[in-house]
Amino acid sequence: MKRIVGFVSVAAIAVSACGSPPGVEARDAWSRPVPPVAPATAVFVEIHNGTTDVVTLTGADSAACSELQLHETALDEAGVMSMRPLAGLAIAPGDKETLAPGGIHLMCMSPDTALEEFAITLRLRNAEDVVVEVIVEDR
Amino acid sequence: MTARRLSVIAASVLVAAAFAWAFVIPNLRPHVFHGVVMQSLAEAPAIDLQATTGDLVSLDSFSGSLVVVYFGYTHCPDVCPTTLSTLNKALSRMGDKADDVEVVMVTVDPQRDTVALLAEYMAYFNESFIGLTGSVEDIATVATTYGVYFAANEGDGESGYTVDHTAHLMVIDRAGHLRLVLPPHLGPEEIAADLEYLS
Repeated sequence: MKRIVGFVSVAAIAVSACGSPPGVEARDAWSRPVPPVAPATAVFVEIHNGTTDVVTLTGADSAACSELQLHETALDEAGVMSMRPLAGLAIAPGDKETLAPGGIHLMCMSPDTALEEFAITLRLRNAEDVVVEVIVEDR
Repeated sequence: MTARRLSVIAASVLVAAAFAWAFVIPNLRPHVFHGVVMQSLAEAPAIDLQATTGDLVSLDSFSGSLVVVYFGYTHCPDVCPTTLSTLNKALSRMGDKADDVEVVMVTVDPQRDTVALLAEYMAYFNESFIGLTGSVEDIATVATTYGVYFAANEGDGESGYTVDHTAHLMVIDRAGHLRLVLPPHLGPEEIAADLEYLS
Protein backbone atom coordinates (compact mmCIF):
# COMPACT_ATOMS: atom_id res chain seq x y z
CA MET A 1 0.00 0.00 0.00
CA LYS A 2 2.84 2.34 0.93
CA ARG A 3 4.40 1.68 -2.45
CA ILE A 4 1.19 2.63 -4.22
CA VAL A 5 0.88 5.87 -2.22
CA GLY A 6 4.52 6.69 -2.99
CA PHE A 7 4.02 6.08 -6.69
CA VAL A 8 0.89 8.25 -6.76
CA SER A 9 2.74 11.07 -4.94
CA VAL A 10 5.68 11.00 -7.37
CA ALA A 11 3.28 10.98 -10.31
CA ALA A 12 1.37 13.95 -8.86
CA ILE A 13 4.60 15.92 -8.39
CA ALA A 14 5.70 15.12 -11.93
CA VAL A 15 2.38 16.31 -13.36
CA SER A 16 2.39 19.53 -11.32
CA ALA A 17 6.01 20.23 -12.35
CA CYS A 18 4.93 20.09 -15.95
CA GLY A 19 2.02 22.40 -15.11
CA SER A 20 0.29 24.06 -18.01
CA PRO A 21 1.99 23.64 -21.36
CA PRO A 22 4.76 26.21 -21.97
CA GLY A 23 3.44 29.28 -23.71
CA VAL A 24 4.20 32.93 -24.24
CA GLU A 25 4.95 35.00 -21.18
CA ALA A 26 5.13 38.79 -20.90
CA ARG A 27 7.26 40.23 -18.08
CA ASP A 28 8.38 43.56 -16.69
CA ALA A 29 5.94 45.72 -18.66
CA TRP A 30 6.39 49.42 -17.92
CA SER A 31 5.69 52.87 -19.23
CA ARG A 32 7.24 56.22 -18.37
CA PRO A 33 5.06 58.80 -16.61
CA VAL A 34 4.15 61.54 -19.07
CA PRO A 35 2.22 64.81 -18.79
CA PRO A 36 -1.58 64.70 -18.85
CA VAL A 37 -1.44 66.57 -22.16
CA ALA A 38 0.95 64.06 -23.74
CA PRO A 39 -0.59 62.85 -27.00
CA ALA A 40 1.38 59.60 -26.83
CA THR A 41 3.62 57.44 -24.71
CA ALA A 42 5.51 54.19 -25.13
CA VAL A 43 5.02 50.82 -23.48
CA PHE A 44 7.97 48.48 -22.99
CA VAL A 45 7.85 44.77 -22.16
CA GLU A 46 9.84 41.53 -22.30
CA ILE A 47 8.18 38.73 -24.23
CA HIS A 48 9.35 35.13 -23.76
CA ASN A 49 8.35 32.53 -26.28
CA GLY A 50 8.17 29.21 -24.46
CA THR A 51 6.49 27.45 -27.35
CA THR A 52 8.06 25.33 -30.06
CA ASP A 53 6.86 27.67 -32.84
CA VAL A 54 7.83 31.12 -34.02
CA VAL A 55 5.40 33.55 -32.40
CA THR A 56 4.83 37.01 -33.84
CA LEU A 57 3.69 40.06 -31.91
CA THR A 58 1.37 41.91 -34.24
CA GLY A 59 -0.02 44.63 -31.98
CA ALA A 60 -1.81 45.25 -28.73
CA ASP A 61 -4.95 46.72 -27.20
CA SER A 62 -5.66 48.51 -23.96
CA ALA A 63 -8.50 50.45 -22.41
CA ALA A 64 -5.84 52.97 -21.33
CA CYS A 65 -4.87 53.84 -24.92
CA SER A 66 -7.09 54.87 -27.80
CA GLU A 67 -4.72 52.90 -30.02
CA LEU A 68 -1.60 50.79 -29.43
CA GLN A 69 0.78 50.46 -32.36
CA LEU A 70 3.96 48.46 -32.71
CA HIS A 71 6.75 50.88 -33.61
CA GLU A 72 10.50 50.86 -33.97
CA THR A 73 12.78 53.76 -33.12
CA ALA A 74 16.06 53.84 -34.99
CA LEU A 75 19.03 56.12 -34.61
CA ASP A 76 21.36 56.60 -37.56
CA GLU A 77 25.07 57.50 -37.48
CA ALA A 78 24.26 61.21 -37.72
CA GLY A 79 22.14 61.02 -34.58
CA VAL A 80 18.85 61.32 -36.44
CA MET A 81 16.02 59.52 -34.67
CA SER A 82 13.27 58.02 -36.78
CA MET A 83 10.23 55.99 -35.86
CA ARG A 84 8.35 53.59 -38.11
CA PRO A 85 5.39 51.23 -37.67
CA LEU A 86 6.30 47.53 -37.54
CA ALA A 87 4.00 44.94 -39.08
CA GLY A 88 5.16 42.34 -36.58
CA LEU A 89 7.94 41.19 -34.30
CA ALA A 90 8.87 37.50 -34.68
CA ILE A 91 10.15 35.69 -31.59
CA ALA A 92 11.94 32.40 -32.15
CA PRO A 93 10.99 29.32 -30.10
CA GLY A 94 12.61 29.46 -26.66
CA ASP A 95 13.79 33.01 -27.30
CA LYS A 96 12.79 36.40 -25.94
CA GLU A 97 12.45 39.93 -27.31
CA THR A 98 12.72 43.02 -25.17
CA LEU A 99 10.81 46.14 -26.12
CA ALA A 100 12.95 48.94 -24.65
CA PRO A 101 13.54 52.71 -24.93
CA GLY A 102 15.28 53.70 -28.14
CA GLY A 103 14.14 50.53 -29.92
CA ILE A 104 10.93 48.64 -30.47
CA HIS A 105 7.97 49.78 -28.39
CA LEU A 106 4.20 49.86 -28.30
CA MET A 107 3.04 53.40 -28.99
CA CYS A 108 0.04 54.23 -26.80
CA MET A 109 -2.05 57.04 -28.23
CA SER A 110 -4.07 59.38 -25.97
CA PRO A 111 -2.84 57.59 -22.83
CA ASP A 112 -4.82 57.70 -19.63
CA THR A 113 -2.03 59.39 -17.69
CA ALA A 114 -3.91 59.26 -14.37
CA LEU A 115 -3.24 55.52 -14.07
CA GLU A 116 -0.33 54.08 -12.12
CA GLU A 117 -0.78 50.76 -13.84
CA PHE A 118 -2.94 49.41 -16.64
CA ALA A 119 -3.52 46.17 -18.52
CA ILE A 120 -2.62 45.59 -22.15
CA THR A 121 -3.44 42.62 -24.35
CA LEU A 122 -0.64 41.50 -26.63
CA ARG A 123 -1.94 40.23 -29.96
CA LEU A 124 0.10 37.25 -31.14
CA ARG A 125 0.21 35.14 -34.26
CA ASN A 126 0.69 31.40 -33.51
CA ALA A 127 -0.20 31.83 -29.84
CA GLU A 128 -3.04 33.01 -27.67
CA ASP A 129 -3.27 36.66 -26.68
CA VAL A 130 -1.38 37.55 -23.51
CA VAL A 131 -2.60 40.08 -20.95
CA VAL A 132 0.04 41.87 -18.92
CA GLU A 133 -0.08 44.64 -16.33
CA VAL A 134 1.96 47.74 -17.21
CA ILE A 135 3.57 49.63 -14.33
CA VAL A 136 3.93 53.39 -14.83
CA GLU A 137 7.30 54.42 -13.42
CA ASP A 138 10.25 56.62 -14.25
CA ARG A 139 13.30 54.50 -15.02
CA MET B 1 62.58 47.89 14.15
CA THR B 2 60.26 45.22 15.34
CA ALA B 3 58.15 43.16 12.99
CA ARG B 4 55.06 44.59 14.65
CA ARG B 5 56.13 48.17 13.97
CA LEU B 6 56.89 47.28 10.36
CA SER B 7 53.39 45.81 10.00
CA VAL B 8 51.82 48.98 11.38
CA ILE B 9 53.80 51.16 8.96
CA ALA B 10 52.92 48.92 6.01
CA ALA B 11 49.23 48.99 6.93
CA SER B 12 49.31 52.80 7.26
CA VAL B 13 50.93 53.16 3.85
CA LEU B 14 48.30 50.88 2.33
CA VAL B 15 45.44 52.86 3.91
CA ALA B 16 46.94 56.17 2.70
CA ALA B 17 47.39 54.75 -0.82
CA ALA B 18 43.80 53.49 -0.89
CA PHE B 19 42.52 56.89 0.29
CA ALA B 20 44.55 58.69 -2.38
CA TRP B 21 43.36 56.25 -5.05
CA ALA B 22 39.72 56.69 -4.08
CA PHE B 23 39.48 60.38 -3.27
CA VAL B 24 42.54 62.37 -4.35
CA ILE B 25 43.67 60.98 -7.70
CA PRO B 26 40.21 61.19 -9.37
CA ASN B 27 40.13 64.92 -8.64
CA LEU B 28 43.58 65.42 -10.13
CA ARG B 29 42.59 63.83 -13.42
CA PRO B 30 41.38 66.24 -16.12
CA HIS B 31 37.65 66.00 -16.85
CA VAL B 32 36.91 63.60 -19.66
CA PHE B 33 33.84 64.80 -21.52
CA HIS B 34 31.11 62.33 -22.39
CA GLY B 35 29.89 64.66 -25.11
CA VAL B 36 31.77 65.93 -28.16
CA VAL B 37 33.58 69.18 -27.38
CA MET B 38 33.25 71.99 -29.90
CA GLN B 39 35.95 74.65 -30.12
CA SER B 40 33.77 77.34 -31.60
CA LEU B 41 35.15 80.86 -31.65
CA ALA B 42 31.96 82.36 -33.01
CA GLU B 43 28.87 82.83 -30.89
CA ALA B 44 26.19 80.16 -31.14
CA PRO B 45 23.64 80.78 -33.89
CA ALA B 46 20.70 82.95 -32.90
CA ILE B 47 17.49 81.41 -31.65
CA ASP B 48 14.61 83.85 -31.92
CA LEU B 49 11.40 81.97 -31.25
CA GLN B 50 8.20 82.08 -29.23
CA ALA B 51 8.75 80.68 -25.74
CA THR B 52 6.24 78.86 -23.59
CA THR B 53 6.88 81.57 -21.01
CA GLY B 54 4.92 83.84 -23.33
CA ASP B 55 7.84 85.90 -24.60
CA LEU B 56 9.84 85.93 -27.72
CA VAL B 57 13.27 84.72 -26.71
CA SER B 58 16.73 84.87 -28.12
CA LEU B 59 19.87 83.27 -26.76
CA ASP B 60 20.75 86.64 -25.23
CA SER B 61 17.85 86.07 -22.84
CA PHE B 62 19.89 83.30 -21.22
CA SER B 63 23.17 85.19 -21.11
CA GLY B 64 25.39 83.92 -18.31
CA SER B 65 23.69 80.52 -18.15
CA LEU B 66 24.53 77.19 -19.67
CA VAL B 67 21.85 76.49 -22.25
CA VAL B 68 20.94 72.94 -23.26
CA VAL B 69 19.10 72.95 -26.58
CA TYR B 70 17.07 69.96 -27.73
CA PHE B 71 14.90 69.57 -30.81
CA GLY B 72 11.86 67.34 -30.22
CA TYR B 73 8.06 67.21 -30.18
CA THR B 74 5.23 66.22 -27.88
CA HIS B 75 3.77 63.44 -30.09
CA CYS B 76 7.12 61.65 -29.78
CA PRO B 77 6.43 58.67 -27.48
CA ASP B 78 9.89 57.32 -26.82
CA VAL B 79 13.07 59.36 -27.29
CA CYS B 80 11.73 62.84 -26.39
CA PRO B 81 10.16 62.01 -23.01
CA THR B 82 13.17 59.82 -22.23
CA THR B 83 15.54 62.71 -23.00
CA LEU B 84 13.56 65.24 -20.96
CA SER B 85 13.30 62.84 -18.02
CA THR B 86 17.04 62.15 -18.24
CA LEU B 87 17.79 65.88 -18.28
CA ASN B 88 15.62 66.41 -15.22
CA LYS B 89 17.52 63.66 -13.41
CA ALA B 90 20.84 65.18 -14.49
CA LEU B 91 19.83 68.57 -13.09
CA SER B 92 18.69 66.95 -9.84
CA ARG B 93 22.15 65.48 -9.44
CA MET B 94 23.73 68.90 -9.90
CA GLY B 95 22.09 70.50 -6.87
CA ASP B 96 22.51 74.29 -6.77
CA LYS B 97 24.65 74.25 -9.91
CA ALA B 98 21.52 73.39 -11.88
CA ASP B 99 20.15 76.87 -11.15
CA ASP B 100 22.38 78.23 -13.90
CA VAL B 101 21.29 75.69 -16.51
CA GLU B 102 18.46 76.48 -18.93
CA VAL B 103 16.88 73.60 -20.84
CA VAL B 104 14.97 74.50 -23.98
CA MET B 105 13.22 72.23 -26.44
CA VAL B 106 12.61 73.63 -29.90
CA THR B 107 9.63 71.83 -31.37
CA VAL B 108 10.09 70.19 -34.74
CA ASP B 109 6.30 69.90 -35.01
CA PRO B 110 5.00 73.47 -34.76
CA GLN B 111 1.71 72.57 -36.43
CA ARG B 112 0.61 70.38 -33.51
CA ASP B 113 2.72 71.77 -30.67
CA THR B 114 0.85 74.87 -29.59
CA VAL B 115 2.38 77.16 -26.98
CA ALA B 116 -0.13 75.93 -24.37
CA LEU B 117 0.56 72.24 -25.09
CA LEU B 118 4.31 72.76 -25.06
CA ALA B 119 4.16 74.76 -21.83
CA GLU B 120 2.31 72.04 -19.92
CA TYR B 121 4.37 69.28 -21.48
CA MET B 122 7.73 70.83 -20.59
CA ALA B 123 6.73 71.91 -17.08
CA TYR B 124 5.75 68.33 -16.24
CA PHE B 125 9.36 67.20 -16.59
CA ASN B 126 10.79 70.26 -14.82
CA GLU B 127 9.15 73.60 -13.98
CA SER B 128 12.15 75.43 -15.42
CA PHE B 129 12.15 73.68 -18.82
CA ILE B 130 11.11 75.95 -21.67
CA GLY B 131 9.51 75.04 -24.99
CA LEU B 132 10.16 77.11 -28.09
CA THR B 133 8.05 77.29 -31.19
CA GLY B 134 7.50 79.43 -34.25
CA SER B 135 6.64 79.15 -37.90
CA VAL B 136 7.90 76.12 -39.80
CA GLU B 137 10.22 78.46 -41.68
CA ASP B 138 11.66 80.01 -38.51
CA ILE B 139 12.22 76.63 -36.92
CA ALA B 140 13.81 75.30 -40.09
CA THR B 141 16.19 78.27 -40.07
CA VAL B 142 17.23 77.64 -36.47
CA ALA B 143 17.56 73.88 -37.03
CA THR B 144 19.68 74.35 -40.12
CA THR B 145 22.10 76.68 -38.36
CA TYR B 146 22.54 74.06 -35.63
CA GLY B 147 22.99 71.24 -38.12
CA VAL B 148 19.74 69.67 -37.01
CA TYR B 149 17.67 67.64 -39.46
CA PHE B 150 13.93 67.15 -39.18
CA ALA B 151 11.27 65.86 -41.55
CA ALA B 152 7.69 64.68 -41.08
CA ASN B 153 6.62 61.23 -42.30
CA GLU B 154 3.35 60.05 -43.64
CA GLY B 155 1.40 58.49 -40.81
CA ASP B 156 -1.54 56.19 -40.45
CA GLY B 157 -4.21 55.71 -37.83
CA GLU B 158 -4.70 58.05 -34.94
CA SER B 159 -1.00 58.60 -34.43
CA GLY B 160 -0.98 60.80 -37.49
CA TYR B 161 2.54 61.52 -38.66
CA THR B 162 5.88 61.09 -36.93
CA VAL B 163 8.82 63.42 -37.26
CA ASP B 164 12.38 62.24 -37.84
CA HIS B 165 14.80 64.54 -36.04
CA THR B 166 18.34 64.86 -34.78
CA ALA B 167 18.31 63.70 -31.18
CA HIS B 168 21.56 65.29 -29.96
CA LEU B 169 21.64 67.83 -27.15
CA MET B 170 23.56 71.03 -27.84
CA VAL B 171 25.17 72.86 -24.94
CA ILE B 172 25.90 76.57 -25.21
CA ASP B 173 28.35 77.84 -22.60
CA ARG B 174 28.09 80.94 -20.44
CA ALA B 175 29.94 83.01 -23.02
CA GLY B 176 27.34 82.10 -25.66
CA HIS B 177 29.50 79.66 -27.61
CA LEU B 178 28.35 76.25 -28.76
CA ARG B 179 30.60 74.14 -26.54
CA LEU B 180 29.35 70.59 -26.41
CA VAL B 181 27.22 68.11 -28.30
CA LEU B 182 25.76 65.35 -26.15
CA PRO B 183 24.76 62.23 -28.08
CA PRO B 184 21.45 60.54 -27.34
CA HIS B 185 21.32 57.79 -24.71
CA LEU B 186 23.83 59.39 -22.31
CA GLY B 187 22.68 58.83 -18.75
CA PRO B 188 21.93 61.50 -16.12
CA GLU B 189 25.27 60.96 -14.39
CA GLU B 190 27.27 61.54 -17.57
CA ILE B 191 25.26 64.59 -18.59
CA ALA B 192 25.48 66.07 -15.09
CA ALA B 193 29.26 65.55 -15.03
CA ASP B 194 29.74 67.47 -18.30
CA LEU B 195 27.35 70.28 -17.33
CA GLU B 196 28.90 70.63 -13.88
CA TYR B 197 32.34 70.95 -15.42
CA LEU B 198 31.12 73.73 -17.71
CA SER B 199 29.09 75.52 -15.02
